[in-house]
Amino acid sequence: MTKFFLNGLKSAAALVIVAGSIMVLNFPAINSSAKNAVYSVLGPVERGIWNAGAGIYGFVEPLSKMNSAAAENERLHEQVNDLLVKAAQISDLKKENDFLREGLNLELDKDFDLKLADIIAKDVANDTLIINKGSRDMIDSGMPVITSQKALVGKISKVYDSFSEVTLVTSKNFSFDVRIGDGVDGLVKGQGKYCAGIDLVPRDKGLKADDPVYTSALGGIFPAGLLVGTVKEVYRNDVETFQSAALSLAFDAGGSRQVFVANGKLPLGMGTNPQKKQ
Amino acid sequence: MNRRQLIIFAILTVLGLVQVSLIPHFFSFSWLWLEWINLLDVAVAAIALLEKRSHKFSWLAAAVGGGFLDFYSRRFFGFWIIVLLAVVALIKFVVKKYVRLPSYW
Repeated sequence: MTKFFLNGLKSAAALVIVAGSIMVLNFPAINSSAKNAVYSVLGPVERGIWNAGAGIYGFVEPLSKMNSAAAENERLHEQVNDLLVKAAQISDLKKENDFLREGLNLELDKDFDLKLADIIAKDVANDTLIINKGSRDMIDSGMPVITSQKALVGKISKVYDSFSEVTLVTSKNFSFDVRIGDGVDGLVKGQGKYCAGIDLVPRDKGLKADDPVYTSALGGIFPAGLLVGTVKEVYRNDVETFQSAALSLAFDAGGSRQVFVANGKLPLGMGTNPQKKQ
Repeated sequence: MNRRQLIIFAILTVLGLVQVSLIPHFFSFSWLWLEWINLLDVAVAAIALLEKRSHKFSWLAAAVGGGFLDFYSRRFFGFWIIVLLAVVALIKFVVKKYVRLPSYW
């Protein structure tokens, strides 16, 4: 009887301790400090594992695509030829652009400051990354996160002292305005599991596979001109007012080790508008 | 806590680190339901299945493993603790009522 009572008492005490810990750790201030402490202790190990994973992924990923390599090669040859033609045109445009920029005295490098951060972990069940830069590095919520190729990764959703959470553009319920190809507006919606789609594109607008997708400043979430990816497959229905598409993302979470956080006086790209400067 | 249990905690920590830092690289190869079945779930379920019926270490493993996952989750703190405790409770119930398994430790 005494043993049964003691066992019951022990179980009740354990339950109270677990419930109490959960309650205490749900207070925002305590939660942030605890998470920051855990990330600080495990961060260096996690960074090593993440980099090892990126290395393995870099080796395994091409192997998984061997079957489609020949078709991909042919398609890329065609693209190279197209790009060579476009490069010649761009060269002329660049000269003109340099001349105009000089004339307007735009100082792009002063508009924003990019902070390099290492990816250390990913949320278990959401499209959220953890990076090793936080409020001590002047990181703030809402800042865009991009790759070295200026491809959009996501935005800072939560900031700790030395770490931050990045909500990926593929995160469920995450949506933002984009500009597709030659100026077609649309809305990218995250679908989770590193997948996203394009929606709300008027049916009469020409939308085709491989069209580049860039951010648009319309929604005020991201600055304009960041590469999101390319159109993968278009879904058009005669009944629907809008067409949608699958999106092939420019950012590859599997192979990435580092990202940039646009940490500046102005959000990336905002200062490039001459009208705002005046 | 004995030496074997300490080793199991170390293994749980390593599995947790692998889950949050290594597995995400290969997520695109996985099925949709994988987010609910992670390495710590499997490890805690295995402990609950294989331990003696009178032992209660799996409850502690569920609390510690769940706590680890909660630190890397956007859900409220305690979500994974509750999930893993529920998994242990379910396994214990099923094993006690309907299954007769060999116990290894």
